[in-house]
Amino acid sequence: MSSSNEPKSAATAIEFSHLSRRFGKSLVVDDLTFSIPAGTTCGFIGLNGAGKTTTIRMLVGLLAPSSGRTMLAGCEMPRQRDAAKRLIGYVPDRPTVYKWMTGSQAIAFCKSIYGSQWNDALVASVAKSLRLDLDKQVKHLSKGSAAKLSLLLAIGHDPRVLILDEPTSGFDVLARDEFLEGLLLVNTAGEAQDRPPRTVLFSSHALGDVQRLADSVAILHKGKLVLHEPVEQLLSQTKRIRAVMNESAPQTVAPPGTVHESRLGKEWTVTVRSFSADQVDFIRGKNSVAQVDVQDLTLDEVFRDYVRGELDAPEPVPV
Amino acid sequence: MTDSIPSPILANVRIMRALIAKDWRLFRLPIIGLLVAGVGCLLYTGAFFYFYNFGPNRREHWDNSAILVSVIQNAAHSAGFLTALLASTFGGVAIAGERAERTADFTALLPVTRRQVIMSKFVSAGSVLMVFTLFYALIFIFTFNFSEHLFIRNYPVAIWEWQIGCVISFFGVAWLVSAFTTSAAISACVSIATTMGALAWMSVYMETDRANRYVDVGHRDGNLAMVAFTVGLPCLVAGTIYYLRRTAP
Repeated sequence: MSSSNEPKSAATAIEFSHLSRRFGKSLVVDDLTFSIPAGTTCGFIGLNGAGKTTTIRMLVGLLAPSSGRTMLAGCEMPRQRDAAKRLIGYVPDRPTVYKWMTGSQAIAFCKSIYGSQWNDALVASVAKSLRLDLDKQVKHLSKGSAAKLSLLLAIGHDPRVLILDEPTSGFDVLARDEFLEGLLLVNTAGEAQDRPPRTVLFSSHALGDVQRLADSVAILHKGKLVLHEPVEQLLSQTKRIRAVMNESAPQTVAPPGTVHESRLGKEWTVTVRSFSADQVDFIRGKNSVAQVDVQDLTLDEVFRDYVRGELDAPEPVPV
Repeated sequence: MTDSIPSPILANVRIMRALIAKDWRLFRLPIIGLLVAGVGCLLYTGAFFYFYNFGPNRREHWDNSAILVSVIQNAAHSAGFLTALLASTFGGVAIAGERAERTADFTALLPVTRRQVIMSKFVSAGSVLMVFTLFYALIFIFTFNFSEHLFIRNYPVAIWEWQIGCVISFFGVAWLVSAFTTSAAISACVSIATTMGALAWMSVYMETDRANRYVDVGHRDGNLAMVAFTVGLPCLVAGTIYYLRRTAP
């Protein structure tokens, strides 16, 4: 018979259910509900102050939610955090390892805590691939090397879920590439050992990286979830319709599913979700347009338009 | 195959050893402070004794051994008080210092329980403070038979009580404040102000209260120890309970 403190095995690795967090009068995370299937990588994106770090801190049990529930690797957080700790790895936005420790000392410290769960072979192979100098003290490591060490310590016990909170912020291009290669290596390392793929939640401002790594993307804005969709589906169904108007300033009628629209002289651009030819016909039918063309968007452009759409939306009137 | 399964007790011992070693390193600066304070007091003793015996204004008729005992006891007393004072930095660094550096997050995400974290901090800080306090108290005990306080029979015990009380008070208040803040310095300052305030209040009370005016030094130190215990112990317990119950590390 299992006790209530034992984690449940689940196909859903991460689950937020009506999660909210308030700091005084400020509602930083507002009724967040979404889940991430096991074995997938989710990019968690939003502007500064959107509530990403607060959400992640609640997820890993470093912060208590004001209301709602978080499940991580089958454990309810923060109630079952002690059980979850062996199942998760966390890479924070800046290294939290003791600065006086060398890389080797930090590894030895973690190994003595995790005991037999610590995977020496995995750590050795990833450290070698990352070209990490383990004899240097953490305080003498560059930002990129310190983040790589954090990644190494987070995967040493071979966790089922890996959570990264803006790990590459402030990195130069080369350091970022090396870190991401390390992350890809970590993700594929277990596949050779017939281990199910790791679930990764990856918060970042580098949307090119998210597009490259993530299976799905969740956009957070002002503490609210704007969308959570598979990246491929989002990019295939979100399009920008660019119309050249016949007259300079007539009223425009946007089609259903408009995320964001902008007007510059005669050029009118409309970003739409769930794109279909009907939306183009709608624009042609309801507006006086000379020319219409449809453009594909990158994740960066999709994010910008979704956030701009949210910023342009009227504030709800308090009841 | 059962041999390969690690015993929970052994695993716990292994974890505690790692945490205590880490905490001893964490307390390195206060430990250096304790050593400097102790050496400083002993140097002061040596210099004092030297100038009385070999300096230009030496007094031949003085009883050198009585002076030596007296200055050694004064040095031990001062060093004991400085140890207690520095206990406030141990309390501050223990939680707030780790939180300010965000290393508390690192430890919190390792598979260790809050109880293990607390226990490790108590053992590492407590062992260091106890060794220093015991050392100074032993100086008192060994020199007691040669001292001018021989007529006060409970003097060494009272001094020891006073020192332990001060250590608990300085450490306990800093520990409690540290559980709420991210500044080791604020925790230590509040602890010093609170404990010194309580001791000063008790001293003034004893001076002005007719019943206490003529009590011996041993009794007074015992009373001060009681005040320090009364301030420190509840703070220590409250800080620990709060730290164990809160979600944030």
